[in-house]
Amino acid sequence: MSCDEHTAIDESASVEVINRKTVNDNSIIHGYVTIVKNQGMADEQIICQDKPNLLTDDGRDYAIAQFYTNTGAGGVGMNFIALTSDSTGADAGDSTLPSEITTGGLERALATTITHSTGTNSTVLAKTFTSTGTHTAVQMSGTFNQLSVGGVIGHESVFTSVSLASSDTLTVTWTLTLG
Amino acid sequence: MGLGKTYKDFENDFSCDTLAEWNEHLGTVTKTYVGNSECVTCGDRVEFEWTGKLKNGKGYPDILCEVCKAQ
Repeated sequence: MSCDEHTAIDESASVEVINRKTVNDNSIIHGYVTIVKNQGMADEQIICQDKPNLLTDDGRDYAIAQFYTNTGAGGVGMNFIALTSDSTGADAGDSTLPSEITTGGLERALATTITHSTGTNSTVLAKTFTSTGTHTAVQMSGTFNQLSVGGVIGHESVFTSVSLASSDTLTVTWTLTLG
Repeated sequence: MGLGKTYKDFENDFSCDTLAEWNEHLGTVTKTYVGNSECVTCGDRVEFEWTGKLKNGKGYPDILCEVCKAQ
């Protein structure tokens, strides 16, 4: 699978496509991620658009528990978004987001919007992070079921690495399809 | 059109494989959106249910809380 990545609004910018690990072919829960730096600003840059990602093994187990095996109240949805500069790539076997960023405005956060359109298989999680420091080569995102570090990781996706200065924003949008 | 593609609208028998097509579709059909979101004005979190057509290629509605809506 491929995606349009690093497609800047500035026509002079380069276009780069990187194929890394893609969604599990047998996964019924798909995730697509879009990353935009400084959205709505003059220097807006689309880092990654509508890129397939993977459902982790732990994420699949968590979803199955919600659907079939829980005998008590359900768990919190995987609606917290995290980021990392780790370059090892997304792996379905990951139980954490490697070297997850925990400071500088890019720490894990509840999605600003958690939206499902009824009668469809689509749900959107979106969050705009505002950097309060310098971040180099941010390049992977994950979704979790809790705010604090830990919990269950649901989806992971790599994207073209991006560096942020203080006050830069990074808008992360996950469009998730189930069924 | 069948529903063999990635994005599926069961109510309107529509499916497609790209987010651009999907967001375009959401601009043509009235759908109900439910969820939890920050008010775009004050930032308070609110539960919402919004029905309408999304415009400008958006994939979800911008939500105003009742207080901001009343102002």
